[in-house]
Amino acid sequence: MLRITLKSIRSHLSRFIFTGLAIMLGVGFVMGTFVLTDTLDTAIGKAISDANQNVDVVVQGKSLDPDDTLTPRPPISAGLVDTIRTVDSVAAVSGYVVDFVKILDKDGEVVGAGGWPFASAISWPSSPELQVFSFRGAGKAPETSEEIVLDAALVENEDFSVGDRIELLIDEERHSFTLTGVIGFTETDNMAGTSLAFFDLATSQKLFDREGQVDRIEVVASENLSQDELVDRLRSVLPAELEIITGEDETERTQDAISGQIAIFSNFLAVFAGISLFVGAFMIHNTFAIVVAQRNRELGLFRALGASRRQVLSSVLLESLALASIASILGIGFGVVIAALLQAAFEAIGGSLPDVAPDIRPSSVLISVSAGLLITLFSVLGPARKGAGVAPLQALREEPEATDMPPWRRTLSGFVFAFLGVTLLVAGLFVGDGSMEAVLAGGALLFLALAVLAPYAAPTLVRFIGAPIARIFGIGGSMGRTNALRNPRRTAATASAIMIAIALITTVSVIIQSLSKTVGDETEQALLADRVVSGEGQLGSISPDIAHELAGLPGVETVFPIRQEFYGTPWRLDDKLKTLVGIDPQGIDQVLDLDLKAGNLADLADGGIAVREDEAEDEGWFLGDEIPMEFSATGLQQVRIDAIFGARVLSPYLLSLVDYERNIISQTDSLILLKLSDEAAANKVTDLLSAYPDLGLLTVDEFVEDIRGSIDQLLGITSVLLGLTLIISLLGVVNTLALSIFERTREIGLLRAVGMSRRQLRSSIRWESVIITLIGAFAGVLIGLGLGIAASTAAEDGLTIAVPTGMIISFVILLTFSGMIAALLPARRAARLNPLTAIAEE
Amino acid sequence: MQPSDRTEDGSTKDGSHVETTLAPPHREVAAQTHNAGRVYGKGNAQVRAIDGVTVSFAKGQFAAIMGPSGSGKSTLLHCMAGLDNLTSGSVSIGDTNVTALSEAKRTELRRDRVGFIFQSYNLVPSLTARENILLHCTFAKTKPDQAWFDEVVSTMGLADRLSHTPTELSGGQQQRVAAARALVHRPEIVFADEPTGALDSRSGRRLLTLLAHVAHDKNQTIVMVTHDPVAASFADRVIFLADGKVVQEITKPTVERILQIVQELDEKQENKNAEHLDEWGDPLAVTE
Repeated sequence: MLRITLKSIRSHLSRFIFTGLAIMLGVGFVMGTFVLTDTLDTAIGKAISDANQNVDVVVQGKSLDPDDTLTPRPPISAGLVDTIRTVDSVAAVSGYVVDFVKILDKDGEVVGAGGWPFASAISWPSSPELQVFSFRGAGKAPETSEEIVLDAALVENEDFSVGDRIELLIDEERHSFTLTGVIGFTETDNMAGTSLAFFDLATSQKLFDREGQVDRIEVVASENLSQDELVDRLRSVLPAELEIITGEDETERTQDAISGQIAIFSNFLAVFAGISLFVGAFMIHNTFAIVVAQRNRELGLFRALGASRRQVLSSVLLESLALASIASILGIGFGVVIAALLQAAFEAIGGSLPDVAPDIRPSSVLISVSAGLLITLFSVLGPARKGAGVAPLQALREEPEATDMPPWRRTLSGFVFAFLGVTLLVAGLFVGDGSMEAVLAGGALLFLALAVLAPYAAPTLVRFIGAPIARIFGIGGSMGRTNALRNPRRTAATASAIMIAIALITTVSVIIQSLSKTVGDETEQALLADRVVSGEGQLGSISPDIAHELAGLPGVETVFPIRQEFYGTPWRLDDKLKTLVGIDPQGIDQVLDLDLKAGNLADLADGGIAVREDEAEDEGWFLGDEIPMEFSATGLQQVRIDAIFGARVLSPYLLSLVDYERNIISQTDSLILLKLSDEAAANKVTDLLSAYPDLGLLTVDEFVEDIRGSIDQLLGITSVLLGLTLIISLLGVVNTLALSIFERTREIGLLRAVGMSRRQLRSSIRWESVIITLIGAFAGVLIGLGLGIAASTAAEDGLTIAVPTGMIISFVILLTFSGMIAALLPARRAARLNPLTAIAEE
Repeated sequence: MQPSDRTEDGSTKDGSHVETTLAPPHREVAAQTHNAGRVYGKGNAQVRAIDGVTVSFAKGQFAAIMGPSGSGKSTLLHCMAGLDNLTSGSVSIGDTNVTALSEAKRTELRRDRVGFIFQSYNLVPSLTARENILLHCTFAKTKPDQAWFDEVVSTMGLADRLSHTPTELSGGQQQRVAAARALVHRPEIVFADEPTGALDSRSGRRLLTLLAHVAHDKNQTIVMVTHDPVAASFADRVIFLADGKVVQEITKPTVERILQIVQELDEKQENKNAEHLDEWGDPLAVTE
């Protein structure tokens, strides 16, 4: 039986190519996600453990979140380094100042601007045991306030050389150093993609405002002392508020934090891989439905000759599994290639990873292959059962049975799916904190339901969309329409895959566009200022001195700095981490309309906080309440609520600058709002800012555009990823057309024999393809608009609905052409048929 | 219609000799129907395809069933082969009452105890002749009897065609592959539905000669539906069906005798149709 199955596949191989391709792509995306994630994880993990390889103990200030290794901690006294040095069995110790700088390239532009412009600034390790990197070529450590050492990747990309003057920005202020050396790690040129700049300790302390302080102390134990024992010894001599952990724990914690970041990224990719498999499932289902229908006679013959239902069922399932196995194995290879390409792209944009082989784990292969096999099995079950149910007498009939409407049981299950899908969607969105899994499952069920019910709508849609095509494009157009109507179930199933892809793109674009518009509108409404000083990509880290400088210019009426660290200024409410910004209540009414609900913003002046209405409601706070705010520098503070406002701009928590300066370690502004008397003042500001290469002066409109741009970027990325799904669904159109033409060989031969031209034939197939594609697009846009508008409306506080009409129209136009392209191959094959042999074909 | 090229004593013009003596009456029964009826459709659209057919086939007999289109001959064959189900009466193969069997049991019956030859060969195009012949064994997961396989294959003249696929074979060869497939698992009875319908007369004759040979020399029961008097003349016995009923039966048929009966039946049918019209009155007559 297996042999018969395999022979059947071999003889129909061409019918399975596109289906196999769809499975391969789906499995490849899943596998690629795994391999990329695991490889990055391993590579970055290795980079971290290499960097910490000699460190036995790390001493630093406590963070608000013990697991957080990314945001800065309060500095500690530099004198502790000497205290530690005197402890028994300490072999080496080094104190570091750690911060960020923006490096300027030879043209004076910030390196990495628009993406991640920051390089890690680290003071040079004071003991050679802790120096895990080495000079590339001749070089020396930075010793004076004029000297800097950079990593090899940066130096190579920017074409720097030892002896060059290196310009960089610290809190947007320009500094200049001489490059004295270039370092690299054993295997990599930088720290897993992060650029490094080294200064000597004293210079770092001065540059980053850490006089007499360090951020982190690394300790090496003498050989016979364990890391834990050293921790105990240090704990007995050091102040209790310090965090003292082993090098191993520090490595693990840092790796976990990075893994967490990578997991967010890979979950995002995994969702798209899942969607492509889901769309692929429609194609698999469709192919087997058609192939089984075409093989009705053969399956009927098997039954007539005594094959049991089970044998027929398993032969079809076996056939699909054999196909899925081959396609999945190819998909595994394809996934590894995808991962390698993405990794190469990562390295091309400046990341340097340790040279690890692609991390192909057995579990990844197992999961990817199982996903391919299961989705195939699931998609084929229906057609296989139908094949097994073929009456033996079918073998004696000449014509294949006409496909009719779905039986009532399928219809019923369509409605049940729809109900469950909507329920899950609503529950996932609105119950509790919401659940991504429920939303995805609900969405999948809803789309399944739509696909099951689609055959009812298909004929109407085909007539509707086909009418103008039939009228304009003559015989080809009207035959295309007739052919699309011939088998509503098949047309619907093919169009369904396109419908899903387009519906997803439309949903996502409506939500993101609405979000973008809402944020843009609200920002525009709240901003009374004339101009905004902002860093590139709003990743400004602006020294407060610049605001003071601006205040001295004539014609500048109000200077209103928004004090905020570029990664968000953290504080803790019980066990929740939140962020805030610092503002000066004086002059706020000149630059911001915060839609005040209660209290008075001017009251913030002598210490207090303004809370946004929705947060206050969630926490049950009222004006005048004191709330417990924990800061990393000053610990728990009771802060009075002096105002409640409604505008969703900046942050839900506005702290007065007085309190901000008292409780927060680093003082930088993210934006500066300006009120100017006239245009001349703007020119003066521009002149002044020319000394700060990363800062620009934006009008309110430009600033709003800038904010919306970063949201719209998200739309671009998701569209590209969903576009891949669209390609799979278009493969489905090619596949269905090719199979239908195979089925219609005789008819095509007949038409050609009675005088239809090749051109007419090709045109009829082209329009059939376009009609199928367009009904998918049409239904998808409608559903996507519905879902997108529903989700945007239902979102907390509601969004202003914005429909990206231009984008949707261009997608539909693109699809029309794609439909034509999809028809090329099948049309060519049909046109090539010799009328005589086509008629003779059995 | 071609005149018979077969003489009364059973020898053909090309000199080969075919055994035509009827099996002795006491021989065991290979298959029989009792009052078999098959109705298709419901209500007004009801069609009685066969209506109270009682007939039995002795082991080793080569029988032909004839009748005009729509007489129910194919339905009778399908119901006897377990491909279709009676709506009344019964069919048995050997001692087994087919009518009482479940679909699964009927599938087993088709697989192990029945052979079937179709008009349109119905070979699986992706399989070789050998694989097609062995389909019953494949489904039953049994090994064929090698000696019998060789014998069937050589009888059908297919020894050098076994590795060919159907597209590489002529129509006659394809039908002989189908015949070999129907014989190779030693079925109790072989049913053939217009087996020569798609063949030219020469290939058809060769196949019929072989079928008759297998029936008599190998004691293989064969029941064949045909509308070709020449084909039917190869059988030991011809049963005539009209309107789903057995209307006549002859043994040791000759082409002339068959043609005569067919003609008589056609005339009867025409008379009946005329009566039928009388019953309803002349549809063209204007009623007062």
